[in-house]
Amino acid sequence: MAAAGIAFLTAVELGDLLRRRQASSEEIVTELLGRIDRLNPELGAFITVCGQAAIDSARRADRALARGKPRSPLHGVPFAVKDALWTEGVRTTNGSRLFADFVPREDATAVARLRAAGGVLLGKLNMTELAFGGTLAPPFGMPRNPWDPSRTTGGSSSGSASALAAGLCPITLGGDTGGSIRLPASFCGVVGLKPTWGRVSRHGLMPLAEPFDCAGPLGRTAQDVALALQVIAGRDAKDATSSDRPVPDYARAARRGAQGMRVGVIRELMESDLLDSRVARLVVEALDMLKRSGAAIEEVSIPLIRFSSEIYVATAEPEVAARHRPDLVQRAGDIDVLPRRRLLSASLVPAALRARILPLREALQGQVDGALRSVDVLAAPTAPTAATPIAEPPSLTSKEEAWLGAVAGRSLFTNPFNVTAHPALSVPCGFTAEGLPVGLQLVARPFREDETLRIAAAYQAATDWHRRHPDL
Amino acid sequence: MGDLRPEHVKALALAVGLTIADDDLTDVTFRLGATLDRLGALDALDLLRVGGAAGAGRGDEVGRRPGRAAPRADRRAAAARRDRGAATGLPRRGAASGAPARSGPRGKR
Repeated sequence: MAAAGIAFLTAVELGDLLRRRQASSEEIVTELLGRIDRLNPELGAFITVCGQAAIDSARRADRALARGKPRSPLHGVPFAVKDALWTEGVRTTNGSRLFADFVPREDATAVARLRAAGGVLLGKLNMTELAFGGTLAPPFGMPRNPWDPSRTTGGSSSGSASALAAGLCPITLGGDTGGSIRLPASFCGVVGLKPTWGRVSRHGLMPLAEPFDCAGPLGRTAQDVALALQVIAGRDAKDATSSDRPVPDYARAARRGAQGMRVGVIRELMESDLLDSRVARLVVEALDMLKRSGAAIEEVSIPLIRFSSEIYVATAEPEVAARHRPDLVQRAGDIDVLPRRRLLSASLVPAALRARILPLREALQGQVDGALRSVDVLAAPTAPTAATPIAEPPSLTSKEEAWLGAVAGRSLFTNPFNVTAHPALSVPCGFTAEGLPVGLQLVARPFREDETLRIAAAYQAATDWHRRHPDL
Repeated sequence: MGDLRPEHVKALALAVGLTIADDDLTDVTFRLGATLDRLGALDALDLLRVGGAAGAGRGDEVGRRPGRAAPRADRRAAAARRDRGAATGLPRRGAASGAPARSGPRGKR
């Protein structure tokens, strides 16, 4: 099979090829390594490529497949992970000079589970430094959007999305504390899922703000994301906060179609002054398509969602700052200017103000739960805009500019569901006139990731956005 | 909240053992000022009525509790937005308390 053919096959399709012995894992991995070698210098998607280790792993997978013993539908399928997830014997930088020499002695649980399922680790993916805001001069290269390399990938799971969009890998893992899986998924035109907090073990995910942190899968299709989530979800003795709720059959849910599903469009996000009208139009068109696929669409109101950034900034960011306080004291010069300034500011937020915010967090959770009593899934744009140009941000000249441009930033539409811990997914729903992807965000009741996957898969069955690929 | 000045921020940082370089000071001052303004503005909300008593036990493993009412100020703001008309032209259901509503957001009164 030609390399370009392999590059954009889904994980489901690659798994079928492998089980029918129409391609070997070694062939697939070799083709993708060649593509990474060719494209990564421009795109900056990978920090570390596993090369020979990936080929060795693929050969082991081929031997198991030859014995007719696939461990999962992903056996022999390559994957790559954000460089915030531990990988045994492979450097894990967290996108920062602070961890340039950190080599974990074990895998993160999510990584270990993908490997145990027969997945082949291709490498470690680029990210914004410490997963905390923009990075002016990324220490391991600037991640660039495959749809337009002058544009941002979004972050912080930058390479996790761009590697998929560029056909460098079929499945990736990311981490999401305020939108870090969904935003790059939206900007790069792929599917990204932030699970319910507790659904996927955080063991080995380098912590940012633990009450908000989630590891989750990305893929080019909802079906692929379903397969990956199936493998990584579930109780982990190494993470006491992981849930022991049963893991449903996500791939089956993703085949059920949208008929009879109730989708509630979040009025406050659709009416936001910050929402680009071109993004709004594409989201409305996507909702129309879901209606034609059998879903009932209505509008719901979550008034407190407009305070979500305040809740997020007051509760998550000081925790991040506390975690990195020793770095700020001892190695501030080794942190890029943008995360350093964000950490410094977050270090000075008074605890008394943070404590006053907690009731508001509970109230927002209650409102989202309330909305989800009348519908199955909530819908909204993933981000207010498509990918923006990579540019040095201008010096701040006002507090309002600081709030929108540097503090609350692009996570305004995603951080509410980190605050409330609901599962949320971004699925591509079209392109702007400039050829930039736009994402539709779907939110479900806690531990009902299957419902976001069901709607996303039904939408992808009715559209072909996910079959369009950048010209690279 | 009053205007925060760079010298205040520098002194505050020093008090907690952090040094802010001159190149970072203006930026950090604007960021912190914006954050404090936003959080201070929430004092206008009756937060104890919004979410029940602070420190109340969590409902389950993801820390959620049943739907609660929006604060009065927020209900007023929601009503104002409702009057502006919807962006989507879709049927509406109020969700402030989880109860269906035909004409916009509705919370427990």
